[in-house]
Amino acid sequence: MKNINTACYSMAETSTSTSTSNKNMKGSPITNLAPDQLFSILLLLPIDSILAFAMTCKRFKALACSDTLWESICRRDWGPSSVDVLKSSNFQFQQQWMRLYRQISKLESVSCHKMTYPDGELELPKPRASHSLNFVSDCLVLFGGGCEGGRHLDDTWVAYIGKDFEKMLKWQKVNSGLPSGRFGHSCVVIGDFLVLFGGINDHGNRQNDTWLGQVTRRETLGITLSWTLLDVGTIAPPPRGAHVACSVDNKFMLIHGGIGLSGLRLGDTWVLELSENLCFGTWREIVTCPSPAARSGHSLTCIGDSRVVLFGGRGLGYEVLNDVWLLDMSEDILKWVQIQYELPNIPGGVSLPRVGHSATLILGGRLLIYGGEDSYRHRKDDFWVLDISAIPSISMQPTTLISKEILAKMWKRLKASGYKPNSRSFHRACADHSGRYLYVFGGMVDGSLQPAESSGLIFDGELFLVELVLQL
Amino acid sequence: MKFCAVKQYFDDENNNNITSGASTTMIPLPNVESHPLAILITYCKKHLKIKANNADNKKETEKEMEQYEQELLKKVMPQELTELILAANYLNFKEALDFFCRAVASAIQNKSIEFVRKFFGLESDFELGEEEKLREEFAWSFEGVDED
Repeated sequence: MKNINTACYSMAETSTSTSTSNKNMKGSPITNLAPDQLFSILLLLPIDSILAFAMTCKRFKALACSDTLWESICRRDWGPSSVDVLKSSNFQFQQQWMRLYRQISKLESVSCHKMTYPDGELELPKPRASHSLNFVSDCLVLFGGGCEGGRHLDDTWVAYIGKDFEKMLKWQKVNSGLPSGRFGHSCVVIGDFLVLFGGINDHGNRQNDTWLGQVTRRETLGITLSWTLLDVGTIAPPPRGAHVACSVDNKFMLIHGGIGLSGLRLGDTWVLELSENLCFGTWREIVTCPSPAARSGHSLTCIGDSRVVLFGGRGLGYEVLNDVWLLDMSEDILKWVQIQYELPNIPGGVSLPRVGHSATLILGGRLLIYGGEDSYRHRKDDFWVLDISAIPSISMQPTTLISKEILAKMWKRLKASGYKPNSRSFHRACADHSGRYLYVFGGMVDGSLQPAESSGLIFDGELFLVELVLQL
Repeated sequence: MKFCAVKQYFDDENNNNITSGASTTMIPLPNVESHPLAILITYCKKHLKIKANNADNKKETEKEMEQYEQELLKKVMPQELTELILAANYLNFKEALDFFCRAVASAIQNKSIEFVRKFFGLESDFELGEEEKLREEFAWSFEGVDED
């Protein structure tokens, strides 16, 4: 590749020196532009325009396909931290950024792996659902949840993951009792901290307390996690459980909906801002019209650039929803914008309304949606990718429906290979550093058909890994 | 900072304590032709004028600049854009450079390969069949391209 560049360059130089001397000749000034200047222009273009440029002539093909340019494109489209993680990991892709970009765009399938545990008398976390699972400080952290008999749990478990993909994991129980037992709480990562909010305990009490958790790894003492109650002053969202939360720009925590006091579904949006020293938090409500209707068991995920996506859930009339809403937190005036689309136009779309699913940001800036229950109360085991960037521009008044072509890029069902986990709902999933792997734990799976069992509900306790299949 | 390459000539003069230096110094600009230079000077003057008019209001400045830029683009031939980029780069005039790069990008965005070739005055030097192969190879990214 390098040789072609120098050869083209010297060819270009001779042609331009003749063109400046003779204005009537068909010399193109563009050949005078240095690669850096051309890169600046190319980085302003969408992918298809960059590749159209690559097909104009040999010199520009070499330029527009260069790995230096494509690393910048990956940074632009996926965020610089994803790229830095890939560069420092053991992932074998020979720094072929264009090829990697293509593989991520064309993602068609995932592969599941069952996690194994080292031999020995290791205590493992009990099967549970509506717990919280997060990846922070190179560790997987599990807290609380509901288990058999409708009881709540109050244990915190940590497993060190490190920088590379490993199928063996060692769970360590690090805490018990604090925060108080609950399920249907939310937990997000801001910097190196976990921020936990709300939840329901087994007396049916909804909470609205906020907790900060921090992982510490010490040579001799191993891993510990300390939880502290956050002082938020007098203003806090009404107590709730089965709501959703996500962290935005590593600075704010956004929450929406859930089931509040007296069992009513809520539709309010609140944002928490932490003080510099993390000793204090300030809650404020975001009121917009229109806004997503009241619901529980939905998902809220930050897709980068201060934008968050809300999907699905169960509404006031107990119906299962499939609407998609977008909120851009960088705007001066915040407003929820609905992305209207028609289900029949998507292959398999009839199963899209979901509650109790997981929606996780994966490499490439898209959401991986897994499991949950559909409108027919069936638990699902399918994987869908939701791509918001496929929609050209979310206009102010999005009353126009999306065309079939764009819809095909917006929602895509993936194939799944490898280990086949049970269909589940109210499980939890989180991605690792690289965004190429998803850890999934727990949830409710279909029970056996023994008539003695009251509800046929079985809580699952397995941890499995979902890998994005990239053919490199 | 505008026209950084030129400014350094004035800095040298100030060090020599000559007040009339500005009018007598010959500043060599071998790589910049007069036409793009004239446009850049006008752009610079306009930018300073708009900034002065809207002293504190950054948003107003941006809005007025955008309007001026749109007007300017209507008068500039596409082929001149690359000359302007080269001139702005040589003169180290960052705002103009950014603007003209954006102008080129929006001119060729979502356009066909033929359009881009015509725009830049390029000729295809691919072998027979090579272009077809490339179209297949890059097919994964093509969505909604204008038919020129």
